[in-house]
Amino acid sequence: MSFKAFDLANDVASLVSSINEVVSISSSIYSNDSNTKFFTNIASASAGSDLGGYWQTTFDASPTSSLSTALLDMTYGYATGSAFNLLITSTSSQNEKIKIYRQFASVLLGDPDSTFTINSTSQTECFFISIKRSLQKDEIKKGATLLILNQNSSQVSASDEGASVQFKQTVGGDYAPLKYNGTGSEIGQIWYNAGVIILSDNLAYPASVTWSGTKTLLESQSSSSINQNVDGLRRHIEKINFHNQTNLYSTVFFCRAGNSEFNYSSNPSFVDSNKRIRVTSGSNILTTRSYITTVGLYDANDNLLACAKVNKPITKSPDNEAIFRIRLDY
Amino acid sequence: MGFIDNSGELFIDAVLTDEGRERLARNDGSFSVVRFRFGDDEIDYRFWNELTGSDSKDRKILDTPIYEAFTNETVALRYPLVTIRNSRLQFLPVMIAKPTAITLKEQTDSVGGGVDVTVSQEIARAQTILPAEIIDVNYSVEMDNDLVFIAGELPVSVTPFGTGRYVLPAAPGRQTSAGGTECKFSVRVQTLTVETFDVLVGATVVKPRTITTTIVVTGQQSGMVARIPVSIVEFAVS
Repeated sequence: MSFKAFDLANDVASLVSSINEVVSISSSIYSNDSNTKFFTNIASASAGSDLGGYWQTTFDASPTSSLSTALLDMTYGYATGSAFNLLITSTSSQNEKIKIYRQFASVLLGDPDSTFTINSTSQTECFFISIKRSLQKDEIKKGATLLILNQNSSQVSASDEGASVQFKQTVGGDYAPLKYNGTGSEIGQIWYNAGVIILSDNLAYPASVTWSGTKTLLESQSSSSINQNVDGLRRHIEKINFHNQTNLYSTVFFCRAGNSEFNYSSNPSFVDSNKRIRVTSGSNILTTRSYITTVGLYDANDNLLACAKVNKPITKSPDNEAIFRIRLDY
Repeated sequence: MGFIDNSGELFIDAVLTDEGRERLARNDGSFSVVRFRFGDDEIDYRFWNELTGSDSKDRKILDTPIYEAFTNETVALRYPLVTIRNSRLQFLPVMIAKPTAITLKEQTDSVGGGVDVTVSQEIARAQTILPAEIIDVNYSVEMDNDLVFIAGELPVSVTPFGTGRYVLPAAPGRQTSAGGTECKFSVRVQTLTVETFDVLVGATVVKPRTITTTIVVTGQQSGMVARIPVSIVEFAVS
């Protein structure tokens, strides 16, 4: 016989493992406009494209290049109860900012009317950086996120140091605070499953910091479009470092070749023209042997569903046994 | 105190075959791995060198480079290893096909006609019988489903590449001189078009043109294989 059935209780196991990649995005990629795609506000497009869209997408090259890859979506929003929720100018994207905030609050906090609490304070105005799925993979690895922020004349770092054991679990997935230099006060949050970084405007940056153009951050929040707010954000983040994570769900099949099994081959070269077995005929090695190069996994109807190869021929003879652990990833 | 030899245990990544991916995509529970077998497709046993020392007789075999895994299930594992409890056999059973090659005529061997084929388990040495564990109960027959088919049978599966696979029971009441079984079936030609010959043979080739293909018969218990070349002759009106 050539097939051997698995003992499903003892020969098949499931396991979960993960693969991490280190991602480092520097400001040279996103600080200027050439790698950024701007979206027109669909609802207000007829009123003029200068109203801006809901978000900006940062690419690793020109968005018009077929070789470029989208990295991040950046946007800004405030809650209904924000002090900035006043129609100051016709270009302040008031409705869009509220929609954005409520959308993130709904997904991450489970309630669009909720507000994000950072440093024990309800933060009604926030910047949101969404990492693209192709970059984030399945989730962000906990405890490996670092942002370098440019303030007026200095830089500060914000990281989730220690988050691998101190993260919090909520309806929106796991998250941890981003703290000044890893251990200081909280200035933002990193949501690992959603791949979202939230920065509180007044905690991450002083209100007087020069934002986009000649405006201060405070002035920008009062009267600028989302696009203009995000323009400033892109120029005030020096670096974004994190590790992405791909979760592998695997089934391991233990293919056991006992000492008396699989010692002959149907390979045409196994026998000579007289059908004599080459490895035993005329030899002082009287017992048969074969050389395993391939493992096939089959269903009950003998359909080959998966195939694995070894990196060198494995000798199989009656005086040895072999166990092949075949891993099938999903 | 020495170290335990761990060379017998390996960790290998498997790839899904086209058939496996298709069954997974069906989402109907038809993807279910329940058995396995080993193969040695790359190995050429003619490199077994009887004239050297015991430790180096298989040196060239062990140096054989191994291909990466194929995803086409028809070529991914062609030569399975076989379990026979007696480890000191000197002759191996063989599959004998009669006829050894088939010629089918497009006109007469499609709807009716056809060629009857018998594949039987034999052993090269006279007065030797087959080990009971490799007497085949069922046979797997694979052929190009776009060109030929088995009369009166339906393939259990047809791969995306068009390979039809039939599972046929051994002919009841038949026993070969070696104590093995036989498989009988009748091969016919599918309905072909001029374009089929144009593509597979060439539009400028003198008629009648001939398409060649191969039928592979595998004993499900023994893993032994018989390959039957098939020629399909075009029906050409002059």
